[in-house]
Amino acid sequence: MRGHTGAGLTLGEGAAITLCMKQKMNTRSSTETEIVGVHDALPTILWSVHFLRAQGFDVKHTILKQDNQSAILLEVNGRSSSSKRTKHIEQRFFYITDQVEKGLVKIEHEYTDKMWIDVMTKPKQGMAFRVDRSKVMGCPIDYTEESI
Amino acid sequence: MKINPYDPCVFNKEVNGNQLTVTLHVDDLKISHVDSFEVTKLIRYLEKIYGKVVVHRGKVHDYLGMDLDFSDEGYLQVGMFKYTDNLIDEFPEELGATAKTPASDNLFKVRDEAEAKFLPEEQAVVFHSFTASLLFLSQRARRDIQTAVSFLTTRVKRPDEDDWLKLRRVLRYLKGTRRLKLRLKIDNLDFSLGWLTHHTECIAICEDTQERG
Repeated sequence: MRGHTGAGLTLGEGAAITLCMKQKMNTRSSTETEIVGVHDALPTILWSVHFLRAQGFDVKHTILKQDNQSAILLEVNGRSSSSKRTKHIEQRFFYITDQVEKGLVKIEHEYTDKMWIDVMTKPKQGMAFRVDRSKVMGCPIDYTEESI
Repeated sequence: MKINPYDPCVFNKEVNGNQLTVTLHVDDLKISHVDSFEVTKLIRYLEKIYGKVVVHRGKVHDYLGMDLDFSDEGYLQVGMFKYTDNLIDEFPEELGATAKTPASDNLFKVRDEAEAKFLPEEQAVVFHSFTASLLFLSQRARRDIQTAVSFLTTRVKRPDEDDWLKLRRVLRYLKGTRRLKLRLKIDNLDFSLGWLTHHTECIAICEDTQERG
């Protein structure tokens, strides 16, 4: 069972960076998939903070939003939130815990229906697609073009 | 000039209390400063060393195949109209009607090898080249097709007829949204960066081994 990661960075409107990739390894649960996904996205997250700081912008908070509560607990508390379903997860995936401790990244919970980056992980249709597209592209929800 | 340690192609310098930034891509430079006179000074300096250079100034730029438009205060708009039009025009088949989304619900479903009809080599080469062009587009101005394209890129080695239809679907979607731009705005850089991550688990390839959707 391979997961699919979608991640996006926004500075206000529109997504300046988006990631969309198939995961390289099989996972046992959605929680594990999320942790692997954060691990995949983390280099880009940290780079964007460092880059902007080096450009002279004082980035005070980097907020990472996720919709899986147990993944958040594991990422913040590390091993101490582990149970028998998650104790097999490799130690390297807990690199995020160190970054949270250092204060570089803050993790927050967001409801699934507000996760517009969802569009990077599955083909959506109709209204759901248009709403997410409007957030990613910074365009109106009902964006249409007269036939050209 | 000071190099940004996290991206060696970005240079900064403090000039009159404001930052002068030079971004570099092979032999293309993008120079920005609050005071346009400072930009002129740098261009003159470069011309002294390298001779005449082609200069384009203003709020709208054609840079690396992208149209960067800074004219709307506070916004950066990235469009790739010409590139999109070329792709649509060059597709060897008639595209027909436009599509409302870049992919159908079956995007990640792949037929069993025994059932699949693989594309002849010539068509597979076309598939590969269009997928690569779409990848370039989706990494820049058209983030909305990224999911579909990221799937197509996993199929370039041995595409089948379903993949061809999925590729055609992306182009039919583009046909209906040729003039869509990526529009970015910065609220307050001193405050925060927002990252969202989301994950779904894909359906395994064969129908009979499917456990979860």
